[in-house]
Amino acid sequence: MTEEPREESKEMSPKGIEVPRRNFLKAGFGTMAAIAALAGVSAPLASLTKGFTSVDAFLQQHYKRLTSDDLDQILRRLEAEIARDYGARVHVNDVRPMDGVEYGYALNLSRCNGSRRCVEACVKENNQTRDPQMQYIKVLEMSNGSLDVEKSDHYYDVPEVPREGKYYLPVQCHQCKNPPCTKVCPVQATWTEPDGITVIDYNWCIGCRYCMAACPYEARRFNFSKPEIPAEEINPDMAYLGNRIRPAGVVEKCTFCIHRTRRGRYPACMEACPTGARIFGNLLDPNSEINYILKNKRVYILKEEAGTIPRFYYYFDV
Amino acid sequence: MLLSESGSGGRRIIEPGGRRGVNTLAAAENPFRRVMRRALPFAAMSAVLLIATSCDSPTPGVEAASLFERKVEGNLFDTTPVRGELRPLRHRRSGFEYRCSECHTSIQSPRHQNEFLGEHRNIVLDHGANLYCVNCHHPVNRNAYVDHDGSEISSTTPALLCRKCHGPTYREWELGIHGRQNGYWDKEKGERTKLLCIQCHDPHSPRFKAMKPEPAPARTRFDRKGEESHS
Repeated sequence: MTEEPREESKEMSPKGIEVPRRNFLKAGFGTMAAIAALAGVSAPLASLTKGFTSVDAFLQQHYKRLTSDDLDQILRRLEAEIARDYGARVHVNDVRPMDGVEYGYALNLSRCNGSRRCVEACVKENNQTRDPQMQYIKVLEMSNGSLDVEKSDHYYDVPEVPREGKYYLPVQCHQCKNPPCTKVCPVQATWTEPDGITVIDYNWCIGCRYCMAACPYEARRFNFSKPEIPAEEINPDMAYLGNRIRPAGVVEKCTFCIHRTRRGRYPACMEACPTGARIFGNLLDPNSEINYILKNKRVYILKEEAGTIPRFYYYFDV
Repeated sequence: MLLSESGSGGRRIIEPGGRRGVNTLAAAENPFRRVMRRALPFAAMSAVLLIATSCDSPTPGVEAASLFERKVEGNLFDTTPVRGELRPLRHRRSGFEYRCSECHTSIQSPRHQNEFLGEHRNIVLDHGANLYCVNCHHPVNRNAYVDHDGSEISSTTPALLCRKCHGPTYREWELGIHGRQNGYWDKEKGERTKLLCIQCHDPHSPRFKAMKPEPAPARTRFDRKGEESHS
């Protein structure tokens, strides 16, 4: 007796094609599983990007691997997001380094009077969050005759500066030639540009803060929450690697005002300094002011023993 | 510039553009009254001179300031010099500004500061051993400074005066090492502006003044204004 082949129950597909029931169920369950899986995958993604900017921003490629079309699209998206979140019309640019330029910064410790005008200018120029507060520059109040930064105070709150027996040492990113911060980054979100500025791809940073631990100058800041900046105080001239409003959960730093200096202008901290203690320029130009200082003044490098080889120099005058 | 012979002797230089109308009258009225009572003929003569000079068109006072005007885009942060914009040599009193020559065309002043004259009593000369007004101010043309050889230095270029004594500082200022610069580090891209000596230093008391610092940073990252600090 030959066993008859079991007849498969037949179902009609919506399009009227006969599909074996088993296959139909397979396909149905498969689709459902796929949808469930997708939902499962996208749920954490959605939660991750919550308070971030958007899923697009979250899935964005590394800055160095972006094509110009991609980049253009990203810049327009950033502008739209800032307009949506902050109610400000801004322009986000990608400013590339200039040829034959390496930036250097010198600060005259004899002139700095600790007025913190540089800090204020930096905050406004670079669209740093006001609440919780973020400042790239720390002005340390030091005792005369001492260079021990561990005994310094940057919370000094006095009616008038400079105080008797004190001098002031502003510290910001030193844009090192041998930067520890870029070496420890597990995802290579931070690197040194050809003009010497250490930058961060704020969309690639995972916020692990290894770089903050590695930096001997405490020059990096972590953005704990979505930046709060009043719309009227937003600086509309932004750069992708510079002063655009950063998302929460990333590390930020001074970039020597990349959006200004790469267009030939002075950084904001320098323009605001009331005493003219700050000098900025091109290290590769033999006639620049910065080179004059390196050749003729008594230059001091902060934490020289750390071997970071900074592009930020302190000098004494009188 | 008009050259005129005045009664009190010597060749006097009267720049075009004294003050017009009410300001001139006020200048003749208020602060000088006491002095004029003491020397009435002299005062009358100077008043006549003042009125005579006031017929000229006023000098645009911005000619000096325009050289150093601020070029700040966005105006997000304040880059005003500590002592403000450069102004030509003027004297302010009772809400009016007088050009120095308005009085000093006729009034000779002693080498030392005359403390009995109320006009310059607010000036405290604390410039080291530099005790004489005419070390810097031109003895004849009070709208200008004086050089070593007695020639005039324009009030728009005070650095040329300061370099008489402060050579090293002047050279550094010229190089861009002393004092603040604004604008472009790359001269091909744009203009660079330098602040002048007297935009930061008071020439009568040149030591850089103490100033109020910007508020201290928050002690914790969640420090908010008006709330108690967690530190």
